[in-house]
Amino acid sequence: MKVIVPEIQINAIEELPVFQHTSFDFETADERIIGFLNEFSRKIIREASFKQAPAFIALGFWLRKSNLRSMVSDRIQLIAQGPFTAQPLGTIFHLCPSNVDTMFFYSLTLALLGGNKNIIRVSSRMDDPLVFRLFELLNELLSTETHQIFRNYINIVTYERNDAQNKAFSERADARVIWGGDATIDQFKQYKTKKRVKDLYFADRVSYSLINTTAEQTDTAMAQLVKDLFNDVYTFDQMGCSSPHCLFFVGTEENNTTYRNYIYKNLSAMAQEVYERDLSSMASFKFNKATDDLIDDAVSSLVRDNNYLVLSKVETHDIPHSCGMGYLYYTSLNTLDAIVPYLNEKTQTLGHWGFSEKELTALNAVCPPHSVDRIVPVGKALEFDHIWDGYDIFGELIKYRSVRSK
Amino acid sequence: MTFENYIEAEQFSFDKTEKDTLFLSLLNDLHKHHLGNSEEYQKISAGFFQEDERIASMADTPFVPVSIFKNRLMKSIPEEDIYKVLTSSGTTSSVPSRIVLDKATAALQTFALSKIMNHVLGKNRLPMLIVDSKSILKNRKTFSARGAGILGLSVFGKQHLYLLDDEFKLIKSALQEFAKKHNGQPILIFGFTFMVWQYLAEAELDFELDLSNAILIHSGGWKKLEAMAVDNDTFKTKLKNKFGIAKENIYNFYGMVEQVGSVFLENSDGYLHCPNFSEVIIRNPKDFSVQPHGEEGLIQVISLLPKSYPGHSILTEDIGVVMGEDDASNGWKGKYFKILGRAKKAEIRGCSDTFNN
Repeated sequence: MKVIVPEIQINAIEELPVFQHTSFDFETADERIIGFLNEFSRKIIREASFKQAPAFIALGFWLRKSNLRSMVSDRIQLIAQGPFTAQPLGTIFHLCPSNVDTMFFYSLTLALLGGNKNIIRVSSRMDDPLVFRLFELLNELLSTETHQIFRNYINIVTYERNDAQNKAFSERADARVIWGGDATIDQFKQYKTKKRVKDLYFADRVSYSLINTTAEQTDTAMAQLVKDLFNDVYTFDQMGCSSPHCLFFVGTEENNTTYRNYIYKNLSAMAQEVYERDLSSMASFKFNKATDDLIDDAVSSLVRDNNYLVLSKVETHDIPHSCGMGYLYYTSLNTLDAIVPYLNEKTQTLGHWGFSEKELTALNAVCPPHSVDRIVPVGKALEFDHIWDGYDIFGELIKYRSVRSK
Repeated sequence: MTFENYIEAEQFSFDKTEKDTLFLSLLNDLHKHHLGNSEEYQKISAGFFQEDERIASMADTPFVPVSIFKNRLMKSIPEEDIYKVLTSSGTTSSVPSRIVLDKATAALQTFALSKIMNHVLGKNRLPMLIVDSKSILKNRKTFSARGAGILGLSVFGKQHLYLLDDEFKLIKSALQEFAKKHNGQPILIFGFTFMVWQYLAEAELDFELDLSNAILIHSGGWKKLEAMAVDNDTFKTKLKNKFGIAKENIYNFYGMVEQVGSVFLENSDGYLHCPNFSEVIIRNPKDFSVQPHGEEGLIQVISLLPKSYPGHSILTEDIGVVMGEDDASNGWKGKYFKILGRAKKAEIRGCSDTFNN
């Protein structure tokens, strides 16, 4: 096991500062925590190597103190009204995904704001130099006198698949935040934990985008739609759980076809210009997927002029869960509520474009309760919300104590 | 021209015009056969390529991804006609390709390989030196491309001598014996490219080994040697200087389990040459359009042999470039090309891979 943050070497996990340091020093949403994160935000935004990396810049902005305060304000107000107080849950073990490089920091932040101590396991397969730069910046901040206390609150480790390590952390954690998807969840449910452990599971999910083809749109709006779709689809190679797997064109058959063709032409052109990928592997990947889907009758036809984008027509409500690198399913709906049969407990994010407030309210009303955790504009699919997969993560990682004087 | 007449013709004898007519016509028969007998091929042909029963040009031939043979059992014959299923684990994946053969296709593969090999070896079987260990054939785990290659090629030689013992050490005494008998005589040597380099080209011998009349055939790719900065010319020069093997008698070849038989043999210019049985097309990864000669892309291999399974047109994950056509310096007709590498495995990371690697 390697400890990345802080930069220390240990022989046993008990030597990690989170275990060595036994007191809890912060109140919920303590100003010192917000100050520390805000300073880290400034470091990220100023960092030259992140200038071309939107995911890192987005993290930087998300960590600004105004945003941190607004995320926790509802909960803090509620606590202030009593009759209860809030305490940290204790030591939180975060198991972070490798497909979204910055994810670990969102998870960490929401737990830290509650005053918790954190062990964050990042994937040993992370290889983006920018992530390592992020660790460096964090280590720099933790070595300042003002912020060195956070060395006891943020321990980032990495190790290869290892049952013993996972068990050891699982036994010691007061809460586990498991971002690994279905297989990982099954694995972690087998480990012995504290009786009162609180687990937040983030399972495999799929996301869709809904596009209203009825309203008249300006050229500018259409160009923006293409840009927003590009961000949702191609960021992280379309492998985020919130990356859309299927486009639903909502309107008349004729309008839907016009939109589909417009989007194919312009989105693939944009990908050709901007999407940096090994072309041969991108081509092979899509070709394998498309031929598989055709053979399995999962799709009826393809829209494909080039290998930057493949749109595969689905005919049933059962949409396959395999996308990546600009391989998208699509279908045509006459009305917005026709989406309902496609929604189930796997559905996470619905992106929307071109709908009125009223229509969105109606959409929310018809979504089955166990389905759909987010309804957000196209272009915001990968923007991290502090309420994620239906959890208010900050609120979940706090312990409430009832206090009544009589 | 009938199929029988076509395959009997002397190898490397058809030029572009003939390939565009004779080869295309036979390919059309094959395309039609697979459309009617493989549902998978029919669906890919219609769904991905919008092709019907008649292909207008070679470039219009639908192709299937090479990985399909790992994921599915592809066949264009009834169950009861299956004679054997070839498997190979390849080099990069643990999932083996499975190739369904009937007797006719198996026989055709053997025939085609002989036609191509005899073209450079002559009709007589030569004493044969195999740069490998016999244990490679016994061990089922490592018996894959290498074992199959050795077995396939050994029919072209006689008095086979495996150069390495079970510990992959050179059996010097046996080689010395072989040298005594065959020094300066026509012999056949076969081995995997990096094995030939490591165990023959780099061998330290305290006796004379005269291979001036030997023919060396090797396969397996240059990846390992490239890492050691050994290219084709360095390879040939060393073997020439050390044992006197004539450069024009050293043949690299490129073949795959998905198209056994119609192998590509190195021509006198150092490029892999399409035999009469097969053809390559380089595809632009941006849109699968045909790349002009000199431009690199994914290699599509087309072969007239696969009838029992729809593998007559396959898109490989190898990257190559066509270097010319009909104008090789040794007079061979047909396209010739070189391989530049392999497409990086699509290493995209899912959210479920934090733990399950």
